[in-house]
Order: sequence, then structure tokens, then C-alpha cells
Amino acid sequence: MPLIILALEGPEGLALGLAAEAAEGAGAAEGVFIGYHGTDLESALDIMRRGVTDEFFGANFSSLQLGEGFYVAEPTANGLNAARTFARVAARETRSSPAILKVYARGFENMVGRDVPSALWEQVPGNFVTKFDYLTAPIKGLEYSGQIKFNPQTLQSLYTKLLRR
Amino acid sequence: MSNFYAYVREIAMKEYRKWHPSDEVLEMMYRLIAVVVRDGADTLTITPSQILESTEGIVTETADIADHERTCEEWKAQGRGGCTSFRDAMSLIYQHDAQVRQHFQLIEATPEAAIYRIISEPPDQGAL
Repeated sequence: MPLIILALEGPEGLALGLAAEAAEGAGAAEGVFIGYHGTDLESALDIMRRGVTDEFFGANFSSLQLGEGFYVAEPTANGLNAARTFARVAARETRSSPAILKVYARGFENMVGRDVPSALWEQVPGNFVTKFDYLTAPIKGLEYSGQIKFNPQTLQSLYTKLLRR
Repeated sequence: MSNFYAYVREIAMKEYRKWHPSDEVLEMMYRLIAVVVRDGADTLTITPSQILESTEGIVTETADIADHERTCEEWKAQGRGGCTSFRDAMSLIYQHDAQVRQHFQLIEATPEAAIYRIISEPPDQGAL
């Protein structure tokens, strides 16, 4: 399964990769692997220790493409490249080390998502946040990778593991 | 000079959307500009694989951007848009942001590297 996911990049890769992971993870006690979150090591350890909370809502960016929530790059090689890029910049800012978190969602197979067209980036309608569990779109400026943004009401379904390389 | 650090952190990263659509690589480049000013480096070099800070010819810090720059090139080669390289991001900022031009001087641009001399001083500790 991972080989298939790695072969599919971009938004198609995100959709198919997530579907494949959902099928693989359905019924398992563990959550479904969603993708990667790149940050500095201290923040990564903080997220692992305290869980994903609203304190980790894209704090480093002046605008949030898909609104408030927790942003994850797609579970592909390109998604990993995007997460690494975010992590390395964050590490330079905090004089720390870069870190990548693998993000998992429990009950993902029952969640409802929506793709957000570019015309609505940074001005996502409020009902997109309340009506859906997550939103998807390419990452602006790094459109080789898709992303999934979990809306605030779904955060308790998420957990993370440090990617060790 | 601490005003420039504050300008980059608090104003430039929002104001750039007046001259360019929102772009996370542009924002990351602004954040790295703030970092090199904070660190008191005198030169910023962007290669296809790294962003280097140096002082008096000695590299003091690096950020690995190879994955992004390579993937971006491959993406563009497929005729697809929506990907900004760090080198292009810095070039756009330099072109559009007069305050950055005032503090960074492009001294060399070859396929191997874009080199900017930094005419700035680190911010006061209180500004960090």
C-alpha cells in the first residue's frame, strides 16, 4: 500500500492515498495515518505531550489558507518534502532542530471532508468549518503537495508520532 | 535597525499580499530574512539546495531547502503551476519590497547561487 501512495502525488495522491489508508485502517484500534506535520523539535514534543490543541493552529503564518485548524501535508513523498520544508524553516527560527510528526486520526472513515477551491482560500465560509470534519486543498506555493486541515471539533481524534529517520 | 526586524515580522509578511497572492514560500522567505537579521549575518546566499547565512566569509547557519527546490523544479517541468522556489521568493521580495532592498543588496546571481549582502544590524534584544 505505501508504494501506491508514494506513486501518486498532488491532490489526486491525497484523495487516493487517504482512501487507501482509510480502507487499510478501518476496524483497526489504531487511527488512520493522515500525513505529516513539520515543525521544530520543541513544538513537536509539545504536541506529542499535550495532544493537538488550538494552540497549534498554524501559529507561524500571517493568514490561514483553510481557516483555523490543524494542518497536515498529504501522506506521500511530496507531502513529506513539504513538511520537511516547514520544519527546517521553523527550526531556524527557534534555533532548534527540525521535526516531522506523523499524524493519525481515529474514526477517520466516518469523517466528512470537503475540497476547497482556490477562490475560497483564506476566506473559507463558516459552514465549511462547522459542517465538515476536515478540508483539503493544495498547499499554496507548494502545490506539489495536498494538505488536509482538521477543523477544531475533530482535534480530539488526532494523535501524532515522531518520524524517526 | 531593529525597526527593520519588526517591519519584516509584523508588517511585510502581511503587506506582501498587496503585490502577490498569498504564498507560504514567500512567507517562509520573509521569516528567514528576519532570522538572518536577528542573527547579525552579513551575507545571505541561496543555492539550489541551501540557504546559508555567513559573517565575514564564514558560514554560520544553513537551512536545507533541497527537497523543496528539486520537487518544485520537477513540478514546473510538468507544466504545473503553484510552486514557488525560495530563490524566486527572495527575488520577488527584493523586486517589490523597498525596505528589503534598502537592507539587502544583490551582489551576485548565477545559476549556482544568488548572493545578498546584508546592510542591517541585529535587532535589540527587546525586539526579539
